[in-house]
Amino acid sequence: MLIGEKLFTLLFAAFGGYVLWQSYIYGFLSSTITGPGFFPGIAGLIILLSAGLTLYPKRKVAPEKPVAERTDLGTAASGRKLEVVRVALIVLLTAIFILACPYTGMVALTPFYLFACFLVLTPDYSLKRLMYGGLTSALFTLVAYSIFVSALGVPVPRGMIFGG
Amino acid sequence: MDFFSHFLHGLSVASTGPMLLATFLGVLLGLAIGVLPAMGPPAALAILLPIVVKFDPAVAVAGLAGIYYGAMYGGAVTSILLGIPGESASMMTTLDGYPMAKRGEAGRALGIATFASFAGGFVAIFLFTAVAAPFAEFALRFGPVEMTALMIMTLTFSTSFGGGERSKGFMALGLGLWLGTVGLDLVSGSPRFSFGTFELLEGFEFTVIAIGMYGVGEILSSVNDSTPKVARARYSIRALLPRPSDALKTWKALSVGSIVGFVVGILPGAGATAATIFSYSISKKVSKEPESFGHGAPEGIASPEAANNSASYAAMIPLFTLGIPGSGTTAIMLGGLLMLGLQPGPLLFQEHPDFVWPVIGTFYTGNLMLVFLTIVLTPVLASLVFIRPAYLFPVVLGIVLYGVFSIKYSFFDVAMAIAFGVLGYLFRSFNYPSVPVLLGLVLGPILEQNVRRSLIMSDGDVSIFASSSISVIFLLLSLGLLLLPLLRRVKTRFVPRLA
Repeated sequence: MLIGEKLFTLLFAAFGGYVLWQSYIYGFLSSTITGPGFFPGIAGLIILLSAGLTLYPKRKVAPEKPVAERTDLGTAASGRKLEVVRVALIVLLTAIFILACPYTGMVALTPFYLFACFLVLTPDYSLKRLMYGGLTSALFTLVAYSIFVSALGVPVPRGMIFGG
Repeated sequence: MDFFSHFLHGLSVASTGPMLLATFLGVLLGLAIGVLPAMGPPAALAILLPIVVKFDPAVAVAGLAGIYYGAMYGGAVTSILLGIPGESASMMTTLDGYPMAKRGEAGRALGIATFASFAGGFVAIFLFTAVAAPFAEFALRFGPVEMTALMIMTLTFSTSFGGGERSKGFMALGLGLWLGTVGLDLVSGSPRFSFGTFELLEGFEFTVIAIGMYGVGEILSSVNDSTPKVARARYSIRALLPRPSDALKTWKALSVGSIVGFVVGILPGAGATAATIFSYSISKKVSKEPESFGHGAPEGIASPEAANNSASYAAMIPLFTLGIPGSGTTAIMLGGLLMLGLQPGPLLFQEHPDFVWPVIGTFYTGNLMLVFLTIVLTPVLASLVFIRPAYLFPVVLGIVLYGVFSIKYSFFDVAMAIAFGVLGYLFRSFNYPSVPVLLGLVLGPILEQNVRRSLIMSDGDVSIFASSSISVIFLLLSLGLLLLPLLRRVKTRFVPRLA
């Protein structure tokens, strides 16, 4: 079991413990029927027990892999690193999009957000690729505006530029 | 109105303009989704939910169902032409489809797949039409006690057979059940796990979590994907037309696939992928040339293709008649039905015949459309797989942002969708299944309600759950499934010693 996976399972277990404790505070029973804490308590218990069952068989540390096997792991590790960086950048860009939308306007910000995501994901930066990326971003913004704003009447934030 | 009047009325409504258009767009999109390896039907359904719920319920569900069974067809195209299953349910098709394509029989293989999908789909729709209404009538006998037991069995089966480590599946189920409890408790009125926020008093929006876990999660875990390095080829429409000789040769495999797919499809948690594996192995056993399987046997394509289509229709029986989804895709469809103001279950056939029968009618029209579209569009569909993720993913993210915002016009929901997207990414990275989360979320509140109703009825006496034979059977089955690994361990550890 990878350290990251073990850590994730442990966090999950801690969360299960928190749910169980909080459910106890809400109360498991009330008169003849179940209290508000009964059902979340069961959920917490399921998480906690299952986490234990996941971790228990893998408590022994895995033996070190021979050097020959590790060469392939190097490429996989760099690929994994790139994946994590890309995921983090996309999440960061989306967070910026959410925070900036009320000020800049959702439609106005969309092509820039999409193009930034394209830059994160594209494997090379040739002029042709960049042009296609820009075109896709602009085209999607137009389609999204037509469907969501014009056809469905979604009141997207207009921001300072188009807010009037 | 009797059965045939309902059925004919459903078919006539399904043939009206808006219904035909919704079915057409649904199956077209489903075909495309089935081809794209990074996008599955649950992700596509989740992403499109906020848009389709703005339409008439029958039109919306016709479109959603079209995506579901359309994807089963689409998955075969890349499995045969490129050796890449577009969907996990098309995995078995690759075993014989790709070898056939490599020896220059791509058109024939696609023709067999199209014919098998149509035949499997048609058998399942026919059985669906015949079985669903009586099934719903039988389910009317289910009170809160039976419903509690049925839901416990569904959750146990879905989680146990969902693939991967069972304990991880149950952790995911626990998370889903907990998510379903967030918000105001309906009985006591006290807030639970709202963390002092106003937005969480109403609980988590199902669509937001579905879009996050499936839509965003799938994109984030595919950021390093590249387009497949295979040569593009041309396929003539004529070569894709199924041959009568192939139909004669594969009838046995077709029958096995259709029936096995239907039976396995109804079971919660088993799903279309399990149906294809079962039907493939049975077809191989009953075949006169089992050695040809895996080397380009036409029966090896016909059987799993008939099975995955049959299973996708069958999976909608428990959804419509009991309100019980057995998979991630049907869980999202259940969420969609609830958003549309419909409560799936035994009463759906009685209270909303104007919704149910037209939707069943669209299964017939949709299945016919799929044959036509697959034959005409295969060359285009095959080229879809070459769309670069760098262009596709930002567009999908854009749809997610606009779609989630349009539900309640709230950026809190958008942020939640991204947060659950990250969780979905971690789930995929550490091999945790996402389906139990959705099933727990959608069934948890109904389960809690039924448990409470049962206990009110019995004045707090838990033995009420043993008062009905149906409930006892369901609960024993669940318990047996939970204890099965333990019994296996005891057997492997102690039986050899005794011997």
